Amino acid sequence: MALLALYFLASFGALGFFMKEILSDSFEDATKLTPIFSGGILFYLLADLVMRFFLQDLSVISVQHYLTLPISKKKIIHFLLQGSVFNFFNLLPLLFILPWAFRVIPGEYGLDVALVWIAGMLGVMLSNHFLAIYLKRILAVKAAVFWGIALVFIASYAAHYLGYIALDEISEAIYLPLATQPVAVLWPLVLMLLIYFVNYRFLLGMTHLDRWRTKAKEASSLRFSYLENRGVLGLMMANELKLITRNRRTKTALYLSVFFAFYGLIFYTQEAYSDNYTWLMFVGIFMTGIFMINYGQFLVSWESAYFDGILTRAYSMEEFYRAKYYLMVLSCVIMYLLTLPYMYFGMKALYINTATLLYNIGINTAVLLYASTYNKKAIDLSKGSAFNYQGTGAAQFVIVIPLMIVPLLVFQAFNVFDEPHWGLIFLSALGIGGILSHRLFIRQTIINFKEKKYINAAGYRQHD
Amino acid sequence: MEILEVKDLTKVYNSQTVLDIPELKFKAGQSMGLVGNNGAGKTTLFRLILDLIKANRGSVWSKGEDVSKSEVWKKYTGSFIDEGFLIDYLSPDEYFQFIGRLHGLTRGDLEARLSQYEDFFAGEIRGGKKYIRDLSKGNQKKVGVVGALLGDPDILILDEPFANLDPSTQYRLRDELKKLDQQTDITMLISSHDLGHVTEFCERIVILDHGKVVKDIHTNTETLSELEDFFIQKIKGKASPVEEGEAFSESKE
Repeated sequence: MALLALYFLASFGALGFFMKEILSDSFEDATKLTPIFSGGILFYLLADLVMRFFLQDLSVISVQHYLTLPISKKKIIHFLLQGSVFNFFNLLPLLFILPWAFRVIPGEYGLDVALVWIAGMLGVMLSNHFLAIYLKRILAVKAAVFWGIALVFIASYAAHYLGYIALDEISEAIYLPLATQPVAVLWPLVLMLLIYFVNYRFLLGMTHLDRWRTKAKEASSLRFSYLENRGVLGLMMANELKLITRNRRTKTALYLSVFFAFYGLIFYTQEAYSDNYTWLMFVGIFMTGIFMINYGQFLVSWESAYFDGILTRAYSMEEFYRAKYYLMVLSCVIMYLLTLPYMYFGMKALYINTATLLYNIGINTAVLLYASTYNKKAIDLSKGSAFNYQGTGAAQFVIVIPLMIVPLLVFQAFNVFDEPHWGLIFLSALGIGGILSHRLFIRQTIINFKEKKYINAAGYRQHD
Repeated sequence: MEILEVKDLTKVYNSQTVLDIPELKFKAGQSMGLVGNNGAGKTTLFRLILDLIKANRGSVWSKGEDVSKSEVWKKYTGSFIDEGFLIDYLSPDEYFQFIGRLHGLTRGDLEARLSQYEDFFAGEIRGGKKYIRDLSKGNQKKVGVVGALLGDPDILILDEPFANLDPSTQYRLRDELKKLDQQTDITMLISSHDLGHVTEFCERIVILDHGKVVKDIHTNTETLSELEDFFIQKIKGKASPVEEGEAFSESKE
């Protein structure tokens, strides 16, 4: 997940910084770019709202300790709401706002306007932030209000799509004044305060601030009977699948993986990329291995809460690690099947994804298994979902090099001699070699595991 | 014959010796109650026996094999130290099924085994729709203790099994362990702060104090009052500063 967050930051950062060039290329005859930029804001906010709604956490947990102390409820609510501002999803919009304010606005409207504009845009961003929080809370209590608001959004987008209204013009009418009439900066700030107040009133009306935290879910009836009846190994895989499907953070990794099956569309649909084998290789490794990489980075860390049990139970470490190996292979094969439709863009997609699948299950599984013996940070499964860095150490960043960069370099070596097919064959051969010797990799992993287990166990017992 | 043997075992944390046991042997079939105040080293001893932490010196031998070198002991050792042994996203039934299968129990075997504990569970554990993580501390403990017993172990290690249990369940557990001690050849190592419970069914009591075995007695009618005396003396400050100073200087060596 750390890898993913960095990736988002880098790509949004680049997009934000070069927005000026991107827009001036597409709208060559425009005298000013800010009107065009303003026309897109509403779309960004819609996407932002959806993303926040699904991925952003309500920071309820942080106030639990204060609930029993003699601190007034009002104070706790203000703390809760203001504290929520500091999160990843408020960092992303800044990557667009700040470059635009300093690279474009001064030239078009003046430097002093730029500063006022930033204030206004911050108000816009935070209004969206508080709206997302409100929607998420109200869904649990008054679902009708949530659906009402959602319907308004969907209806307006539908109307735009069908051509009854033009959201880009509306967006421009709303947000351009922030640059042209500096007094307009007041309205986003007022709106932000208003939504803040709505949140505040809503929470004040709640009897228990932590009610979202304490609801115990009924045990899922989802079983993996096929695996459960396949010996100890199958049972251990079934347990791990239950780990994934019954905990929030792992579930988010699962959803994101399915979402990333569509990632290739960005590359296969554009000529600039679709002829470039190296880019498509990157996409292939990413798509077939996304779940394996996301989940595999934290192997064993996921199970930190019961690591003592793992060390004393009546199974061998060989079985323990083999279950993990098969699970990763399974995830890659499923992602491979999900991405088969890319054949629509040519047989090339099939060859590339097959080679990357073999490489992923042959070599990358071994890398992740071995790296797992260096994981010694506990993860609390009940906490957080997207962009939660608990359990992240240097290993999670270093591991990207063997997982993605090495195969790309190897492939590129063939590519520069104009032999991409031999590159694919070579990577596939490496993968097949890895698959054939997976027992050997597992044995090496176990040797290292036994050496490190005391240190890791001590680390896992330290919950933060 | 000795089923379990602690040889010259030392554990040091931050240059402070928390455990220092020259020798401790357990005969097969013996039941041992381990008592001592917080920080005496009870859990550390159990963790060393289960190879969960690394000893600074010395070793633990189970059926003649060093526990840090062999994995065989896992098959015949049942243990429950804390919730760190429970797979908390499983339901109790799934957890029992998992443990049962590890020990080769069929579904029928497992059912028969679990039905013995119906009273102990008080109808709150089985068939429920809750995950272990949503159970109360007491109920989690029940799951852990029964999980440790499922494999029909030769050695049973329980760390404060009576803590967090309601009074009736404590008596039920005590009777259960007593029955186990009398009817089978199991070797039990059980720590507790409840002196009454351990003297009731353990034939041997070991007192740990500042990481050292200070008393190792065969239980008789006098034992309970002897133990009570020991711990009362401690609050009266009779465990003199000189003694503690000695223990400290030894650890420095």
